[in-house]
Amino acid sequence: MVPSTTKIHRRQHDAHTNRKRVHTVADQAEQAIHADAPSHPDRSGLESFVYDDKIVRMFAWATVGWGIVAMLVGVIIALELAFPKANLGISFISFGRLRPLHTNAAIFAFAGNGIFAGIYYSTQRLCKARMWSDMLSKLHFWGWQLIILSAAITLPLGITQGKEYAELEWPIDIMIAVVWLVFFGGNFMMTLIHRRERHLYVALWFYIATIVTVTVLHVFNNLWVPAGLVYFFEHGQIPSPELALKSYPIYAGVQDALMQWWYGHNAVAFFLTTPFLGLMYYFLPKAAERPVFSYKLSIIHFWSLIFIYIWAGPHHLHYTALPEWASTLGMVFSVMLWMPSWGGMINGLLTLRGAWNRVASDPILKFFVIGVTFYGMSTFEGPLLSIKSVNSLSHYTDWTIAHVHSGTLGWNGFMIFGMLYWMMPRLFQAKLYSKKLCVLHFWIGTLGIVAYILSIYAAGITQGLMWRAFDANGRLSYPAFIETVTILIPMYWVRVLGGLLYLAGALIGLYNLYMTWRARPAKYEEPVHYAPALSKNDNNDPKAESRLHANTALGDAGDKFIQGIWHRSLERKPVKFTIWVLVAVLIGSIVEAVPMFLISSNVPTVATVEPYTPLELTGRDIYVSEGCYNCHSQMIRPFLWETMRYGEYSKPGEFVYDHPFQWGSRRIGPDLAREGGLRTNLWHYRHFKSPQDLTDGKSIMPPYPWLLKNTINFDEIRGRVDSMALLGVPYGDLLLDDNTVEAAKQQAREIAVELESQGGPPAMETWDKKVIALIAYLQRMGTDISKAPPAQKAEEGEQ
Amino acid sequence: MSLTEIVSFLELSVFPSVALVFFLTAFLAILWRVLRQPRSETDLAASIPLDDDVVFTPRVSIKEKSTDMTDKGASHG
Repeated sequence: MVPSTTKIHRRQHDAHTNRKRVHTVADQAEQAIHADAPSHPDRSGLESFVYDDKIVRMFAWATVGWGIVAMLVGVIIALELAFPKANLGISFISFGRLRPLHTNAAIFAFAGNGIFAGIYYSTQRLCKARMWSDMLSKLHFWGWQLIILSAAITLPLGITQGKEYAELEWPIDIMIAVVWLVFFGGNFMMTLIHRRERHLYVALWFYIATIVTVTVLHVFNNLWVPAGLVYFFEHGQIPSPELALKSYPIYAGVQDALMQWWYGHNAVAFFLTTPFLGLMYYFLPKAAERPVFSYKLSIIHFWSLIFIYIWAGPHHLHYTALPEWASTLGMVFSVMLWMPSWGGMINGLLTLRGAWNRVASDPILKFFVIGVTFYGMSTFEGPLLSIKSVNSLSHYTDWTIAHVHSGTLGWNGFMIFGMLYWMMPRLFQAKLYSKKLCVLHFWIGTLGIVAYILSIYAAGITQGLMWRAFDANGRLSYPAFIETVTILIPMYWVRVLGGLLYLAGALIGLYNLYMTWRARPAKYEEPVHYAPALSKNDNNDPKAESRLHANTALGDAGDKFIQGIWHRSLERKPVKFTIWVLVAVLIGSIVEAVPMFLISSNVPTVATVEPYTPLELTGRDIYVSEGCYNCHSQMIRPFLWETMRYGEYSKPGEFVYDHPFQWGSRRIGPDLAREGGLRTNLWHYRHFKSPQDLTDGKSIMPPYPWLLKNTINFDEIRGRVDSMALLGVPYGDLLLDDNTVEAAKQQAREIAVELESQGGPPAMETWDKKVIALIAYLQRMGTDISKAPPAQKAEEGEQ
Repeated sequence: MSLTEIVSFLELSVFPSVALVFFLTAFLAILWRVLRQPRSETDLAASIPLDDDVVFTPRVSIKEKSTDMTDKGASHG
């Protein structure tokens, strides 16, 4: 039964009254302070403190600035799909290189800085304590900006690990680990330990889960062998910057895929969901000026969400070479996620009970309401997409892109904007410059989201249906892949429009906040706050006593447990709380990962699969560097419409030497798993030079003229092969002396000669160019499975 | 015998089933605790964000300034 408004108000009043009682000491102190300037806070047993709002302002500005960069890059790559000539043949701005920059900027720069701004603001106030260390706060801020800057430089240069949302190379990974865990996590945890508010408010729980889980995800998904270091120690030569920054993940193929999507999905969960829920539980009540609808629901929401979310990653790999048990597990837990997610959404929206009239006039509440609504829509759609039958249609299409953007633009973006509009005038100690501009931002942004997602939903479903369409004779209705792309172009233009609208809204927001900042006082006032310190002695937690006269300790323990005081105690002990959060997220991780890594039957070997040759490995690294996985998958699912289009479905054993796996998640271009031998070297050469020339101008793939000019560093191939050998790839005699370099050169010459014989440029001009290595890799793709097995080869040899 | 071989003998379905039991146990325990939690206690916790500026120095005017900052929308031009 829904409680009446009167009851709710009475309850709120009671809560406030109770808090007043709790702070009786504080109130008395306040009176004393009013009577006497706050120069003797110790007299009343209170501690004085000032919140560090400067760090919040810094993160808030970084949020706005990087947000606009992320959105601008998003608009550019959207334009490149609608109008491929916008690639301009420039390597730095080609779609494959810029798309990771867009995703990383949106997630880690825009959302990341937004999270930090909100966390620094709310944590200090919820703990009634300044951040533990100003130095750590500053190191966190500048370290994070340095990471973002490093990403903005390296990704357009093609320096990438080739794993979605984990593209940043190993030195940056180390920086992330230090900045996140030591500077941010350490400072946050010490602030909790030194807080002056006994109860850890639920928002802090979500922050704890964020810090703990992101650390675990980042560390385990970024275990690698740096190729430059291997080259240096094996051969005593200083590697080029390209090789020095190159690394190979320790995982390969199926295991790498599982690890990556365990990471990828939970990056969404614990970077784009849990911290934002924490912000929702703090800023929404602040903006609505009423407590959260149900604190009890928030407790259930928290534990259910963090426990279940961690399991859901494998739903990104339905019908791939991932074992079915793992895929099904991911689906079941994804569907279970519906409940906690919607519990959270309902809790957020019902916080506005009795204040809905204000939504009409308060643009901040508008942002929050639409943000939380998009959270509900996204978390309804996510489980829907995880259902295998739905996923068979949606996967590799723009449907996923639309889903992701409804979450980032709607949920993350609007929550951040709502938070900034609420917080920044307070931080600047000035009125918001213009409420009308704020409203305008809201409506333009909303229209932008709608234009974006509706067009891309339509594009996704259109393409998915076209891929699987058969004609009356049982043939594919659209056998030419490009037909399923050109039809999307009008929808891609609408996406550009949607992106532009959203960006325009953000620019209006920037102007509005800038003008608000200009009205700031000459010197910010720094209010001094007072609160009693917490000490172990004034812990008034009730102690559970057994009410039984049981003969066994177990009976007594059970009775104490059902009294439930253990959880209240947990809510007040940050270290213990953190440990239990870690246990909750590790359970799902271990259950999925351990069997996958330890049971060899999960990845049946294919006898004919051999390591890539040194030149093919180099070509594969170029494939990774150019971000080809952003548009091409390497995973043929076991559907008739896929095997008819691409060939034999992919087997887990085909990927055992793939460090990293390159299955992809989107087919803007066709699948390449069986590309080897399908086309001539000349076709590939001309295709890289100008894709439009071979497709009557229809292809939306960018040209790669730099691959035809840039040369291969043959000597450094040794570093690449040695690194692979270190990871267990059996290269045998190739590791001896200069065999690696000679083998690579030999294969390059053979390809170049063949290219010339097919009508291409002279071999002497092309043999040492990067395009030759890439062609070597493409011609190898998916061919091992059709080779004769070793035993059969031996028999043929004897005959 | 390696760890891989030992684990290979295990029944795979045991892993998710055991974990599900863990989850349900924890969920029920928390649900039990939450349902039994006194309303006054949760109301008190829920009001923490609204009560985070408990004591101000009297000279500070930020609290007054911060009141309803967006309502007027007046331009500072």
